[in-house]
Amino acid sequence: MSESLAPAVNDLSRPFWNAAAEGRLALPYCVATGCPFWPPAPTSPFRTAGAVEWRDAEAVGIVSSIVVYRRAFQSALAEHLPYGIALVQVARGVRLLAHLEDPEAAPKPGTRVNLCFRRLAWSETPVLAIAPQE
Amino acid sequence: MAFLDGMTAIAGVGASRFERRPEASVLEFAGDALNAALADAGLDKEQIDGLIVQVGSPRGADYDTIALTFGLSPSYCGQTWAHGRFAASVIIQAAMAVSAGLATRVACLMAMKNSDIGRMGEADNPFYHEQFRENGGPHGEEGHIGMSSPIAGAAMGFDLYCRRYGVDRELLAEIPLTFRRHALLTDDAIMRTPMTAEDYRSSRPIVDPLRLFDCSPVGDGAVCVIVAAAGADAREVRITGAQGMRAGRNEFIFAPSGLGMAQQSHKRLTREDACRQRVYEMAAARPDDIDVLGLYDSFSPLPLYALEDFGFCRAGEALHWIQGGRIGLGGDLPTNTAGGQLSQAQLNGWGQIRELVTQLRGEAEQRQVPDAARAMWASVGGDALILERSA
Repeated sequence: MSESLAPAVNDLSRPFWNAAAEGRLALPYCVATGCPFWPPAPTSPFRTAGAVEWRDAEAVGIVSSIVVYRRAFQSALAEHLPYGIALVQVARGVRLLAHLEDPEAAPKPGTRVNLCFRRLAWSETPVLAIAPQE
Repeated sequence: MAFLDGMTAIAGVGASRFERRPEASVLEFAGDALNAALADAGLDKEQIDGLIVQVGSPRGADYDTIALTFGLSPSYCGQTWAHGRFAASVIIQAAMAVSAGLATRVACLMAMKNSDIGRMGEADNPFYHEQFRENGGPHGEEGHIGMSSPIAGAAMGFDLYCRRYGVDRELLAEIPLTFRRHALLTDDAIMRTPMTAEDYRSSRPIVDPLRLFDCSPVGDGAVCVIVAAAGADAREVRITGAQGMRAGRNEFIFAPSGLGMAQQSHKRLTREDACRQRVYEMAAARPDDIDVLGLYDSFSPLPLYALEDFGFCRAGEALHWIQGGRIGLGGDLPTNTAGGQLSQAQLNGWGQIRELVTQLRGEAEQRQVPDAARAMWASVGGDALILERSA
């Protein structure tokens, strides 16, 4: 079986990935409530058949929690151990998972971090990552 | 209050051996469990007119293959997806089919074989592509950023839980240590080497904060439960309470309701709400009335969340509440008395349901909980059963 680590991109998620390619964080918003949400949905999860529009969001957030991989589940990731994944609270109510290249320098949960889109060693598509802390 | 209330019963239960035998056929495990359950219930295969399969292909065999292979002729069939979860839901569906007159005796079968494939998340596992599933994998995976394998979601849920309540992660040892002690009393348990606190603490880190001994050992095996109308058989175990799986934006499979990943509210169930859930209402019971408990434990933090979400203690208290032998044999609430998924075998919770039936029949020998009359199965996902011995 192929070991591609490419994200699944389709019409529903394409606005996110198009923005990511330009280094922007775009999120779907419920038009009626003005609330952003995740994951993408063709209609708002907050309103029956509610309209959705994509808007840019600030690529910053507060770290909720972190896990650190000590074992690789794909061969492509083995040489990058240890790496982390952070759960980051971004815009109102939206929490996203982001790659953390250096868990030794992990931001403490509760701290504000900048997010970026980065081509990781195994990915052709830029994916969400924690930006190096200043 | 409900049509399931004591009208249906588990009439028989059986299991295969639990092992890792790559050269075996999953149908051998399935057949051993099915035939053991039929013998236990005193039934011939011709008396089975319902069949519900959990797991199915590619790790197991689908309902039609099972019927074809074993010469069953069910006229009511069902099948749930190829993962864990849904053990109670399968039994509930069987009970509903019996209550509704769609079947009279339903074989509920969970058979799977994992020894010839890689771990979940690895390329030679048939579920590899699930980590790229649209809107996230079934355990919170996002393979493109390296968030792969179910353990990661369990680790993230536990990290979030520990931070929310400011609890010491090392208190978790009580879960794997207790269930291992139970497995030492269980003939067919896979993990029968004693585990010390130091063994646990020094076990290999997999995805921090979880270690190897926080994970259930994936292997091969099968369990079969036969559901029928309650009758006069003194060994049958009545289904008196039931509740299905929850889902929604406030649910994540490896965290308590309200405290999982994504956009959850952080609003937990109060103990009062937890004690008013349908499973308790249907059985006219409260957590204090449960003599022996089975909890879903594919990873060691999961029982904590079920204890809280089913009202055995309050939100955030479980890590302290379980200490001091409370969930061990001889404690207030013996839990996973055959070793659970962590130490008996990873059978998606079916091992625990079989053990509860054994306990309620008074046939658990050295593991027997004295006077066990009412048992409960509960999973972190919200599905639950209350089972009672025949009067």
